[in-house]
Amino acid sequence: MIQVKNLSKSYSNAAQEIKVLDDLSLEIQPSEKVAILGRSGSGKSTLLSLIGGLDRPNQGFLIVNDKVLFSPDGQMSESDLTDFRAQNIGIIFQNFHLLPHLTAIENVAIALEISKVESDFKMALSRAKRILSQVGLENRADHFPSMLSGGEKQRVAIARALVVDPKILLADEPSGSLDEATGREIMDLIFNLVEETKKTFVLVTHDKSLATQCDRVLELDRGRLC
Amino acid sequence: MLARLAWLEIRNHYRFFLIFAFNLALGLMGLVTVEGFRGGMQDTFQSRSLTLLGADLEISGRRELNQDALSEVERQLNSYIGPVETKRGIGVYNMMAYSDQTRLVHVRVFEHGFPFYGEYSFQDRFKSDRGEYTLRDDAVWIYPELRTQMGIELGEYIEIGEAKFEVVGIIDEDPQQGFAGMSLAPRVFISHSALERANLIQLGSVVWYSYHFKFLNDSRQLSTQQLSSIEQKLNEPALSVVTPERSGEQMGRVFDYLSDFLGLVSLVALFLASVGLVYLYRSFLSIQRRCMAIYLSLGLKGDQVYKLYFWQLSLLALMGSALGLIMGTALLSIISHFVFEWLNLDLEVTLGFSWSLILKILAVGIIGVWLISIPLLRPIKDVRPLSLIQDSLQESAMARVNISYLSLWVPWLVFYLFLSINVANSWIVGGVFYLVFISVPIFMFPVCLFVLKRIRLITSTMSFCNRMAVLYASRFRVATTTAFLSLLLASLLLNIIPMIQKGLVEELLGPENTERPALFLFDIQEEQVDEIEQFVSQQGQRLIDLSPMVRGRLQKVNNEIYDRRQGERASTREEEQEIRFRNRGLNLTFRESLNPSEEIVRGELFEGRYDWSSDEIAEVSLEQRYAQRMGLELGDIIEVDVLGLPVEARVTSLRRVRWTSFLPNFFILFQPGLIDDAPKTYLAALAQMNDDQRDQFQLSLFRDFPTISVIDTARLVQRVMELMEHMAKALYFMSFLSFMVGGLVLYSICTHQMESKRKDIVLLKSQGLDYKRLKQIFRREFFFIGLVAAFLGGIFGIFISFIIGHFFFDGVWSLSLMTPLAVLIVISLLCLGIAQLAMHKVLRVPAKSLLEETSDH
Repeated sequence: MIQVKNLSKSYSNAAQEIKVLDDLSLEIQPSEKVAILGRSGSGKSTLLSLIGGLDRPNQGFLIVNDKVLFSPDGQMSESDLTDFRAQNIGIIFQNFHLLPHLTAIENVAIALEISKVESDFKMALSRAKRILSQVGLENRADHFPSMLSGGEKQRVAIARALVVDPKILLADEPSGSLDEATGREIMDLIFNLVEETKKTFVLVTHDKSLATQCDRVLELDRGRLC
Repeated sequence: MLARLAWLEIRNHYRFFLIFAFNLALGLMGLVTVEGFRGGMQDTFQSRSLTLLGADLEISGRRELNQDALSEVERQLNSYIGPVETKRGIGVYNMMAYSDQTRLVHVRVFEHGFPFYGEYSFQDRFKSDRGEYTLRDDAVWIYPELRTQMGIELGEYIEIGEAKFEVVGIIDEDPQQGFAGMSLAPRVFISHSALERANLIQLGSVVWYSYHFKFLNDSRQLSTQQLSSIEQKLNEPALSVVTPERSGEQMGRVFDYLSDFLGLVSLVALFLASVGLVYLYRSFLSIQRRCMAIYLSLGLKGDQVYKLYFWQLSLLALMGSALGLIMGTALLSIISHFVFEWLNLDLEVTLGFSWSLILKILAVGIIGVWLISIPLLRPIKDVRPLSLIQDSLQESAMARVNISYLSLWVPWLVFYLFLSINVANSWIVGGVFYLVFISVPIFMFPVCLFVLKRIRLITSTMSFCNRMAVLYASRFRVATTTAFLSLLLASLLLNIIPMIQKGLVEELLGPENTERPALFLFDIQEEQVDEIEQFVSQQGQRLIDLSPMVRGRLQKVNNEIYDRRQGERASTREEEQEIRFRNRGLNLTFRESLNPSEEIVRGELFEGRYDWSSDEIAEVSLEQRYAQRMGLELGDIIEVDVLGLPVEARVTSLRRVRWTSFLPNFFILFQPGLIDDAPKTYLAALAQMNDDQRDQFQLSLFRDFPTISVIDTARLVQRVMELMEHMAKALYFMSFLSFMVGGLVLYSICTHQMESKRKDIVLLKSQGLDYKRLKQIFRREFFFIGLVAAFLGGIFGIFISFIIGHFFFDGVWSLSLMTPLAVLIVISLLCLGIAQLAMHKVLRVPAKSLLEETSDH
């Protein structure tokens, strides 16, 4: 379960302070699929990065899977936050963010190694191969990202996010860099996998039709829920 | 896992890493060559030290050991290492005549059974087994150059001193001769009785006595304590006690002067390579920022990411250093051949890998890179996985330059200072080198950044191509500054060496020395003075500056025994010189006025003769560098032992002496009247004469005064010039290497810059800019950088060579505009060439590729 209470986040530059999230509260139940809608700058990606432990809020409570990431009494250390992320969170980015020097299978296997789910690299490769076949890439496992199409790159990114079997899957505009047909394919794949594995799923998107496929839709405007 | 990731990154960017490793290897190659050469020479001299000395122990100096002292040494040796065999050697400089030619030779007395180790070998038919060759009273062995230069053959007769000798052997290899190229005169060997027959030793003659000991019990060596006990018992600083080990070190030291300077030039290459490495790896890290964020998002901790890149750098440093070792060793085998030829070195030297060289180079390469990694990897700590979602937040993280960031460079700068001093074996030389080559870029870095920031303001009046060129240079300020500094350093180096060399050559040959004497006479006995003056006048010549020479030794300074630091081992060139100066005997003189090559720099020269009846202490003038090395000041009272008699005087003036005048000059100049009665010989110079006159004069002088020695200054200058030329060649070679490294750095920067501008280029093309103008923009950008760097390098070169000439070579300096002009042209053209090479591929990218570019991986 994800619990967000009175959460605020602001960024400051030399000229001014920009409030991105303003006293936000929400709860997401286990296995629930939630879409976050909003215009550019509404704070949806920031909310995703806070839930994913990529950033820290300025105020409020943030509890994910019973772990207090942030509260007025204190916050998780950087090291613990990293471990938490590795074991609990899978993230799919809009721009795929694959490691260019690793093949598709290595990109997936490395996630297993880093999260310490699998310490033997050979075993990690074998698990990676299985999940790559689940996303339909068994024939592209030994290709480098530069040799893959956009859709294929995103499939690798999905495989990498799911291979460690995280409890929560976060997706930041996963079809944003793809054409409509490929985007739809990718989203179908994600929804199917989430359904199969019963993961908590948070999707940040502009696309209302995609959002409606989720159990709940939250709309953000200027850092607050509408 | 971290190692694998590091390796996989290397694999994926193998071209980049090859350039990186090659850059480091090229930077280290010079140092490997120089250190390999130095180490090889030292090893050779050490391994041959026993044959170079010819004995287990040698005591030598300019005076004989009396029988008591010799017996005491033998007694001590007996008690330390058992029975010894002793041989006495004598060496003296004298003139030799053959047909109508004369030549200064180093006459050595051959003693049967010596050397104890090694043996002479002879050319042609004269061959003997060790121990069997003997020298008749009227026979001589000569060095091979006397055969080649004067045409002397076996069976012919030569005259030495007052006797005639038949040449019975031409030596092919003398085990005690390290390198002939640097000796004042070739050796000849005669028997002990012949020495007396030729009347070569007279009062005041420059004679070297040596006592050689062979330890009859094998494998016994003197301990350091035993050696210093012998030195203490001798209590005679003018005598040196030499073991084979010390002898080997001394021989090797001669090469150290050359290798020290070569080493410093090679450090410029290493420094340039380091600048290149910083730029390359900084650019690489900037590209890898996204990967770092991905690692972090997947669960790698910040310190693990840091470690990953640290090990990657270490691996690259190891690869680069290993490659540098291989390349340097290959280069070593090429240049050592030339150096041996130049120095007329007849030694079998084994050069190549040694463990100490490998360790030193790996240490320099790896530690250098580790220290660079402190500031270089620092920005990794600022990378956050959040940047994967909000790219713009992290844009400035890699480029932030502030005081705390700059302070991270201090360990590397300190390491370089240490390295400079270590390579130069001198605090002063290493320190000056460091000041010049490290301070200039440190000073110029912020100046450059500032100028580039402001230069945008004046672009409005420029033509389109010039404006774009300047704007690009200004936009990529760090890259422009790095390229600029690399070229500046290369230009500086290329300017300094020829300018110093030109200054020295002009000092030796220039207008001030048109009056340089043709000949320099020494070993003139007191009773020969009137006769020689008469003789010279009869020959239609003129004696210049006939000066008495008295031997003495500094005993006390301000009534305290002078500390000679005897037996101390020097760790730097300055210490070595100081210890040597403190222990050497002195040639003193007395005269009322200065000669044209002298000038008082502090204090006042004494007036008139010393009055023994007055209570005043006598006055003395010291050569300024001598005073500096000995730690003597104006007003100090020195006591000099002149053949057993103490002579006291107050230092009242310091003189600068132009030694290249070849006039009789001395470190210590006493007030006349104080040591006039001391036993002495005379030195004098002879005014200029043409070659025929010179040869004729020397022959006549030899006929009338066979024991007076003559140095042909023209011949000596010629040899010094040749040696200087050869050393300069070696330095040019090393400078060329630095220049190549500078070129590689520039190429790396150019290539990277062109890649960074790829999108701009495509955009400009899509806007309608033609290929020709695009080319002009980038050509001009790099041409301007090269032009300004070379110009400033020339200005700095002139200024720094002037400072170096002023402080290190007594003001010897000569302005040469040809050198900066040539460097300016070469560097500007090089920049054009490299820019052309780097831009070639990128400029051909079609405009339509703008539409094809995908935003991400």
